[in-house]
Amino acid sequence: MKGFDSGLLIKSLVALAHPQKSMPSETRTWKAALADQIPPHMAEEIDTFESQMELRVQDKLEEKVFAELRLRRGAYGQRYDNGFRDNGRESVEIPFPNKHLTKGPGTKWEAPGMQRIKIPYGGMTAEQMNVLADIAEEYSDSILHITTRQDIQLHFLSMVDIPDMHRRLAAVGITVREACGNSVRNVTACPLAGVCRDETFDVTGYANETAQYFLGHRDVQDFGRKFKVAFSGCKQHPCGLTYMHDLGLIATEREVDGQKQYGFEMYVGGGLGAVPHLAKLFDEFVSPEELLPLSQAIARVFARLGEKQNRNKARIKFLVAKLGIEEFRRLVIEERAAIEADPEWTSWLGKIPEYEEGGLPEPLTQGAAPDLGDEAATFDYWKATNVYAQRQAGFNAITIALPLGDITASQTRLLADVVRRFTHDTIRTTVEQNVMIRWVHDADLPALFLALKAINLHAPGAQTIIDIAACPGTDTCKLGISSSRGLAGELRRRLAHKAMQYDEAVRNIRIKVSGCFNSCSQHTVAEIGFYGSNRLLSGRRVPHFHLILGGKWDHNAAEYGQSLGVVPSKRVPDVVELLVDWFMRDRQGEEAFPAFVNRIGKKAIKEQVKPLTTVPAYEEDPSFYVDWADAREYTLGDIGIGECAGEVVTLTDFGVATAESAHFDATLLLEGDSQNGNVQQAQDKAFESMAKAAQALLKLQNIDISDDPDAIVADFRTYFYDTELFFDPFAKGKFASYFLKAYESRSDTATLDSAKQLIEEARLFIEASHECYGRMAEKGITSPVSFKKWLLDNELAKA
Amino acid sequence: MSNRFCVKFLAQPATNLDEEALIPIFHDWIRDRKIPGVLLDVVDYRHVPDGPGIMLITHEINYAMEHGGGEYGLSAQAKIPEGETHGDRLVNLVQRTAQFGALLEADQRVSGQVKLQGNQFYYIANDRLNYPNTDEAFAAIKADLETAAATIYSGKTVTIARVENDPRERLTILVSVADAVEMGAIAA
Repeated sequence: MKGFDSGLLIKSLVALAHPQKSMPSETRTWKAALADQIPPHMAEEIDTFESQMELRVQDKLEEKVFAELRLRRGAYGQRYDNGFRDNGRESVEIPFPNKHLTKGPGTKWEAPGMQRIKIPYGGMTAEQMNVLADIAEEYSDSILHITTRQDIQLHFLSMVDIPDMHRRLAAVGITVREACGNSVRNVTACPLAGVCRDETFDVTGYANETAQYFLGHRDVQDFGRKFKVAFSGCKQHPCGLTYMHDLGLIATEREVDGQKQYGFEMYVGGGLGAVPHLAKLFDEFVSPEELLPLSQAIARVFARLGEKQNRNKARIKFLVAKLGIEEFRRLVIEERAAIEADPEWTSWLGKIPEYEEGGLPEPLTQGAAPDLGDEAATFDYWKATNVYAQRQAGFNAITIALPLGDITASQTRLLADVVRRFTHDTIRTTVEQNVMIRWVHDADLPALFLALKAINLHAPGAQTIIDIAACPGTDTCKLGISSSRGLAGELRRRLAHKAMQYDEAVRNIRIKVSGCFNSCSQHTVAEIGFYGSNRLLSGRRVPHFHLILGGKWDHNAAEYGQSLGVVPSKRVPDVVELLVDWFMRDRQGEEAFPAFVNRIGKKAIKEQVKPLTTVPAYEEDPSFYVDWADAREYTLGDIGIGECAGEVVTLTDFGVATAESAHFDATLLLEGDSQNGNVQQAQDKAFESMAKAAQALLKLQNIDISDDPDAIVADFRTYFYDTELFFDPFAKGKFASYFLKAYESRSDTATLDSAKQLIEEARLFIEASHECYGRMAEKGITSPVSFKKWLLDNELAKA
Repeated sequence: MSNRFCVKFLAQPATNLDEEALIPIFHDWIRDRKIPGVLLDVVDYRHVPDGPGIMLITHEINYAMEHGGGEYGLSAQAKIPEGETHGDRLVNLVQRTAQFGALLEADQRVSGQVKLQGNQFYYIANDRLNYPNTDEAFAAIKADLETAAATIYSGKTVTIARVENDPRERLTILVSVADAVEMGAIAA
């Protein structure tokens, strides 16, 4: 593989696109141009991938194998890459010239894709920023998108450009290896590390060395799912979000025999995703010397015992939940004792001081502060929201608020200049989809503000209510249900008008929007979160969002919120306005928004929101049937106008609504004091909600279905699980298995964790019931008669 | 010669367009296949200052009514250029872009709100390796531009000038003629 000629692949692909042409032989290649600048092992990896691309083009490499290889280099698919796109009226095949070519199962080779670029701890250099800008212009759409895990993503890429892009990144020390795939993903860290006023110590070096140690490590190649690691310098702030990671490390200290020791609180088994889990404390003090060996032991136990067949249960959170933290800890300690010592566990410790940063010796604008003129008021507001006074007197960390995490290539290049002028190259990406310039002198703030203004990066409101995080959603993500970016953009425009009126308590509210239940925007831990959903009304799909309240962004995301039900997309801005106005009007003293939500209670809030959950008839207002930033009538497929408004459908609608109501009651039972004695009741109620949803669907098979859970489960298994009718196109039987498992363990004693988990699983099961109902309508299954016919057809098809 | 380049036609200074109006227009064009190529998607970047605005992504070309460099206009990034020579490919991209522009100018939903300057366009070399932002690269590419411009602006005196920009930006060249030219005339 090492000697593979990259030109061959390019020629093959050009020949595919233009059979009449060939590439000019005199064209210089990045492979040759950068040969001396790329570390040999990185060059070899890229060459190997390029050869794998060639093999795939020649159909000599299985598509599913190539897909995993591609993903392990961060090269994802994008929406419509199955070769179909709905134009609002019908699903239409995209006429790619070489439709037979695929880059994964059901994934067209020529469809645009996305590249995720790992930025360990969010740290970049100006040189790297320049290269990122160049590749965004030349291969992408000139936009760099910062993710909620401090990565950078580029969209609308062609496969043919991937190897050269990787080479250009490698030449400035950036690897894309394991940016995706079932391995250790980007290791994140608080962007204030080293300058935070409240941190125990700077975690930067530890985060980066951990990232480097596990990059390509043999013990992280056999996971059933991805593994995310985060570092935080303190417990109280949200910057590191350690409680929602597979492995979370929080800097800590202790005193032993009069000697101060530094180390980490280690947490394991956290995660958002469809079913959020807060991480469990694994060890209250892990020394720096033990950081890597213990993490490695955790990785080995995860690789050995973690689920491999069922992806939906394969994150380490499920293993920790299954074994219990005590047993998991015992196994890890046993594993730790058995691992052969590795010098690399500690060889890096001496390098930690090298991560220490500093500022310029003198302010750039010493004695010559620029006149802000008309910008003085904006500067003051910007200073109040975007500037953080560092622990080091006289220095500041400045957050640059990027709208929806986006920055242009030109801005990136000019920002690199600003970073070089005002600092020693100290900039980081943040989990709130922003970038942060550190080590700016007090005296330089006005000049920096003007420099940022010159490149349109001076927007105030960083890390406030208008600084909304959003995942790609239906813009580019294959799993997107609703337009998270469209909604976030709309919310941002509306809130920005009022932003100056908001006091600090309102400004501190975080809004996060995901396009589906997978929590990529981290909506579960936002003060106000939304995730995409949809409802079928009179035969038409309507984009909706679940409203999530009760999340706690502070304290490293210490609490996740619950759904209060769905709201039509077009009414979400009104819901946000209602909540914010209510909070401004009725909050008590210094009460923060999460405390306000707890005091008012979700039930009362839901009542207030209820009038905003109605959807006008299509004929009355068709705009509700179109998503934000789109013009097509909203669909999940080729639905059109159905004939499903019969009696039985109404009963099913009603039944699912009952299930939703029971689910909401379950969440209320755990509200406020979680140790309130309602845990068992909450768990029972969650199961009841699932049974109600299943019963609602069964009414389409047997209108007289019993209320007895035994009968419901038996019939559900027969008619919806065994037939795979309930199976989600992507998650398959995942959501159904939640219900069946809940039934089997319904007599188990509830714990707070098990009740919370079942409530989350019930939410997903009910959501899946909505989806199943919609799919049944599409298939014409609207009555027991049509159900029977479908069953017969299904059996015949299988025979 | 180069496979990677972009062109950009600036909007008339008086253009005052509600960019949101472009979203349904571009979606309709995809549905109705109003322009050639494999049409893929519409992207909304209105939230990005000086950004790509509203894009229409195709397999061959990324079109955008965008604000790059603080100048609003229609740009087109060639991804799979059509033509045997660089000059052919440039003529093809310019004509495709002009066709797009003429169609937009004529759309009743933005009637009178969009007018593009057909008498000049930027050529942007989107290949820093083979066409860096240098005088040498400009000299190497100029003959191709002259040939292409003779086709695009047949019978007119063409000026080709390198734009003075940040050396890290892409090599950018302004191709222009003195008299006003309609987009429809270039597209033909």
